[in-house]
Amino acid sequence: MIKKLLLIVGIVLLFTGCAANKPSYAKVVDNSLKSDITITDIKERVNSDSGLKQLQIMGENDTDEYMKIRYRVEWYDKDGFKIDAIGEKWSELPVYQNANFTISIIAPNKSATEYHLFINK
Amino acid sequence: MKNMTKITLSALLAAGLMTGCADKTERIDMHNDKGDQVMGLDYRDFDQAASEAIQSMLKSGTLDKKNGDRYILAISRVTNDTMQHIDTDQLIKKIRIELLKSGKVVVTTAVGANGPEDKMSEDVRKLRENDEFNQNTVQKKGTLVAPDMSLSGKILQRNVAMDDGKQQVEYYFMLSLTEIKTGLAWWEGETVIGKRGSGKSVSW
Repeated sequence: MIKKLLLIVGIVLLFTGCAANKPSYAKVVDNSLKSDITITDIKERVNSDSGLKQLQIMGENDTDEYMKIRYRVEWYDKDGFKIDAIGEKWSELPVYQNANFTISIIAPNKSATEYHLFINK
Repeated sequence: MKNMTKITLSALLAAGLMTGCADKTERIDMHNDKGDQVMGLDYRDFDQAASEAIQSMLKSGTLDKKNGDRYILAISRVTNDTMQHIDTDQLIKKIRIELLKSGKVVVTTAVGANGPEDKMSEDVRKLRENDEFNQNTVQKKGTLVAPDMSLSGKILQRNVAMDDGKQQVEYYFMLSLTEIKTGLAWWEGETVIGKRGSGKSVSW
């Protein structure tokens, strides 16, 4: 019985490992920014008219200094294949001292379902 | 003979020095270019303007055709009103590529503000009475598709002299998307890029 259970768990883990779907995330990639910037909320929705996924990433600048951050997003389809888009290049965003900031992005096409968003200096 | 040797050695030394001083040519890392800004427009500015325009167009819902079809887009006049020699395709081509990828738009190359971008659609129709061509392979009348929308715009430059002798250059990327049926601009976008530098810098 235990052997069977372990086998099932093993198979499940194997399939999970092989799954093509890459889970979405947003992260600060510059270590020097990690204590200055906090991602507070990520909202997603698919626009019913366009069928395009919309993202809204909210964050806070926890410092007393105005800064300019950069972000870029990589999009993936449901099978985990990357979709080339101009949004892959770094975009600048002004972030005011002790204030919230919002990054608002729309997917390049309907196939783009998953995303990786990177925030840098 | 001694003089000859001296001259040769001097020449070799000079050549060696010159080679040592020459700046190496580097390939730009287009994905993470931290090179200094220039007063003129470079590819980073066009990337930013195109990216902002595309995001704005897609978010606006202007390109969402009711039955999920694609709009046919014609590229109208995009004026370069700067002091630089710019091919406005540096901006428009990026926008076209992304719009095509979005699945919302197909661009016609058979109609344009300065005539067709690709004359071949018109030229092959002149083969209709040519017996040398199998007429079944020649396009029939009424197959070209007329555009629904038109993209037009302007890139504008303003130079402002600062009190401290510096120079400020402002670039405005202005675009309009017009519904051809009604002549109404359904979407309009503007990206402003400002640069400030030495008054001696030439921005053209």
